Amino acid sequence: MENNNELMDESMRPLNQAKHVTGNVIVAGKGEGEVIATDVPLSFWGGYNSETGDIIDHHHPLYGENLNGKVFVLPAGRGSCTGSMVLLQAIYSHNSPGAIILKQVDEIISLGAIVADEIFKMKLPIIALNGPDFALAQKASYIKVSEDGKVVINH
Amino acid sequence: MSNIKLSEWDKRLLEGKEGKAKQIAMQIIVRMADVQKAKQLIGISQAHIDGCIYTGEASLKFAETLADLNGEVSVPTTLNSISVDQQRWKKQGVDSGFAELANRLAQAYVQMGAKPSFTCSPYQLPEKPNFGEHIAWAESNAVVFANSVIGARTNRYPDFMDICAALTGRAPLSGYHLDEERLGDVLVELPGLDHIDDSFFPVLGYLVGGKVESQVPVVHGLNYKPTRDDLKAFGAAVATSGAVGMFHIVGVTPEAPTVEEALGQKTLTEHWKVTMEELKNAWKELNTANDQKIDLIAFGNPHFSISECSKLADICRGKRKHPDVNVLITTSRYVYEEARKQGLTDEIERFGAEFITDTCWCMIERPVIPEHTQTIMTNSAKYAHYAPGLVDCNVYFGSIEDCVRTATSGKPQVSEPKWLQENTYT
Repeated sequence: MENNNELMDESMRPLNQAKHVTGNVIVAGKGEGEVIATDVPLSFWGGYNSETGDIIDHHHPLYGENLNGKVFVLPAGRGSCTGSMVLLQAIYSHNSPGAIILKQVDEIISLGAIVADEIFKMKLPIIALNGPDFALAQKASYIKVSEDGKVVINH
Repeated sequence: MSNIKLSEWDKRLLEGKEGKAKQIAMQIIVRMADVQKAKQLIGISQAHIDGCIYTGEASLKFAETLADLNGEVSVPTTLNSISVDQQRWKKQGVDSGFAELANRLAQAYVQMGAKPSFTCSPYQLPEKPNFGEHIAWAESNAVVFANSVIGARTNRYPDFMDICAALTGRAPLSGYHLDEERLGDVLVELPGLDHIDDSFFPVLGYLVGGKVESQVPVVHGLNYKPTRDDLKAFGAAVATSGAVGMFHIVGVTPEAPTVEEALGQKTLTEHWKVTMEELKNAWKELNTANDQKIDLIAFGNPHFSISECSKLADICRGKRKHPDVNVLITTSRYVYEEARKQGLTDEIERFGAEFITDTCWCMIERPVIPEHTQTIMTNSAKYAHYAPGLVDCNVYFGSIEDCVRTATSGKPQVSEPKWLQENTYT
């Protein structure tokens, strides 16, 4: 989310290893954080608890992990259409990831964040990256996203 | 910023000349059209809203924001099942705080001009759409029925998009609104089957959805004329195990008079010959219980139709359910009223079953489901799939007739259906 980690000292991170890439901006915004990555799609409805930020899908490799404030790197969503409402609830109650990086444009995930932006003026940046850049993001430890879709990937 | 070609009317809406609520709705639609890579918007003639299910404060705030801005739907709009039965929640012991939030959410949509139809089977209402009409429906089973059985055209509209389309009468031209997206992807060839009953279609749907995911299946080789209730059950199942928004059954659904017409010029991704073993496994997957007792029979996921009420009334005439078993049926107020006029509800209630209106099984929790309930039997593949996770119960699945036999005896009467037993050749 915006304003997260604004005061973090840039010198703390190994900038020499950073890669700069540009993605397809689905929802513009600033965000940065530790990376939590998966190659398995997630249904936010039934797969994610909007009150705690935990992944609750027993069949998902990230089951039990918490997404709050992290940069969530996942290929796409899956499952229920109510995923938009669950993500909106998470953004609204400040339990969402700091940014989401996708490989495929996902309508259900996107809609939750678009509604948060339009109705509540709360921004959860969502960026789609191409295959090679997405693969880099999956292996990253820290990612920073800017308004214009520039993504700084630190390993 | 956007590559979408907007009409003069779209621009008026976007500029806020038709009010702030429609402006917000249009902004969301245009952004989603961009995400979907749509080139233009189209007019829709009606909407069905699923966003009236209470999922938390944000969903309520969203709807009340639009209602407070005097948002008003511009096309006939129906509402999906809500999270409570407005007439019975007190008697059912539902928490009053929760009921208040659920009712406020429904009220926000009613205030915007949506009809309080409160049903997940809007195709059972008099205002159902016609063949070829572009509509914006949400609720997976309603979407797949509208596209496949009626031949109306709708995408699987997520919650929020449904009300945006209703407020503006517009939607992105993409997906199932387009001819080519409605053609079949997978040819599903059935083995020769006899003795088909109402338990066959939910099982087949559950099997097909799990295999084809979001592709369009074309079912071929069915030598049986399914009823609308059979097609409802098939659609609900195929949209539970998969993300199917459209199917064809050759010789049955309106866009599939022949295999060739259902497939068009599209390249098949698969020609799948269904085996008896696959059908048997799907049936087994739906039966997750093995206890010798039964606490509850659940009918009406999706909402029971008048013809299902009539069938149930016939089967339970002169019988009485076992005192240890509860029999609950969810339906719309419209169907309940029509069934009442025909004397069907009296017959069913004499059997000992109870009706619930407005809400549906996907939202019903305890205490509406009696606290002691551990084992449920249902005729719905959709509910057989979701109930273990939703209400932590074991589930038996069977035909309406088997459900009634179970209700009267108080013991699960579950045997392999005849269409599985007597079709050993494949």
